[in-house]
Amino acid sequence: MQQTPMQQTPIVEIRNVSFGYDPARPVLRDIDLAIPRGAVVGIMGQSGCGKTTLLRIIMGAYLPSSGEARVLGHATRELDAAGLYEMRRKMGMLFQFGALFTDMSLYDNVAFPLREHARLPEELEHDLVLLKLQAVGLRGAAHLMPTELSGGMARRVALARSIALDPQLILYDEPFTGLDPISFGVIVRLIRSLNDSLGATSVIVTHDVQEALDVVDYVYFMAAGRVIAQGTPDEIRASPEPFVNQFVNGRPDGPVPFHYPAPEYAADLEVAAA
Amino acid sequence: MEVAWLRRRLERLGSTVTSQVWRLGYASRFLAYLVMHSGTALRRFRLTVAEVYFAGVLSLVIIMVSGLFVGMVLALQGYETLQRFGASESLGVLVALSLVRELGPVVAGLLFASRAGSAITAEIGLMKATEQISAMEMMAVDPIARVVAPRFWGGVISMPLLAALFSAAGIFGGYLVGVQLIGLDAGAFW
Repeated sequence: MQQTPMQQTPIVEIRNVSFGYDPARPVLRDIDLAIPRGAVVGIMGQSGCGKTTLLRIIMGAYLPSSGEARVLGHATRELDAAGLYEMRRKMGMLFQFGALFTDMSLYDNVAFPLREHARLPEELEHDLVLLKLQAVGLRGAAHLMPTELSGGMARRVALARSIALDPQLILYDEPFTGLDPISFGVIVRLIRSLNDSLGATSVIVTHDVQEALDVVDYVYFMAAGRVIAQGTPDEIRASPEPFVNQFVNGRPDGPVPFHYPAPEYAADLEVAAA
Repeated sequence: MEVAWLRRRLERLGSTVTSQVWRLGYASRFLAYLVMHSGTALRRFRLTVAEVYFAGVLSLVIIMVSGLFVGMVLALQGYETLQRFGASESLGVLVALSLVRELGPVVAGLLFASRAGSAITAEIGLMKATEQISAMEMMAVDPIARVVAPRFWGGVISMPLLAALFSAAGIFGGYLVGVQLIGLDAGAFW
């Protein structure tokens, strides 16, 4: 699945997008990216660099202050509420902590999008829900409530729910946060296998770089609201860009300094004068 | 100096008033949107029925107990006054009218707001904090239509019934005190 983004019409196209809650302090500046059909693309960067905001632009929750976001063939700016909902039916989203409905069993959680959007005969709905739960390995847990699950299991159920309507585009918001190594491995494997078996396209927003680099086809690296590097995982690992290098290798000091800006240490301790 | 002081006061007054008006407008628009998007709540009436259960049926105990005691207190205090004028036979009418016309709906409404209202607020607040509301929006489901509207209509249906039950329990409480305890004729009540 190694592709460069230019080979075909991309499923998500972000052109010159800037965005800020307050125009004086933009969160995103001149972002350009393209996500090709079928790929698993990572958007990486430090906390607060604008990754999640970019994800919200892709899902149409925010409109760019300038520039254009084209998702699944629609410019999000031109969609009304109904059009936006229509577009989102073709998208799945995995939230950071799953966001399962706590008052429903796992079965009902996965059945929720089907019941809301597709009037299916009960038997067909039943089969579909079990099929999705089987894909994430939790068919046997269908009757449990979300509060009875571990974090990793909750995220797998949420993944089953987000693919219930066979989306063309799956968005992952920090899917690896707070998982033990086993759950972690399961989620990484599921992201890849679901993407390929559904013929979907996936966008992963994360700062778990090493693990994510193993699963993605292409990476956009963000810092301070800009894309500062992009490439295949191997290109990113070998990147000469000092910030990317520090980030990928987890070095404590570098372009992002270890010390918060402060006056001279000696002066602060009042030993300089002595 | 004086002018600047006056100006500050006026500005503060102005911003308070505009923010209150803004809030009122916001609440009205929310209500209008809610009513216009109530299709789901009415079409899939089971959603609303479930909320009638949570808001209404589960509030029954507190409503009935409070009603009973309010009625008992009304009867006891009313009797004290009425008997001085030899009008103790009007006790039933006093209790029934003051409950049905005034106290019943008001106190039942307050109890409903504090029990069911706070439960709904906490529930939706939790859904918001754990991104369940965002998840719903991402699944192309309008949370106001799916989450808020059934709760609203559940409240609209259960509130008058609870007020009626409150008054009924109150009248029964008045009967217990007036007839069983004080020994008035039961004809004053029925």
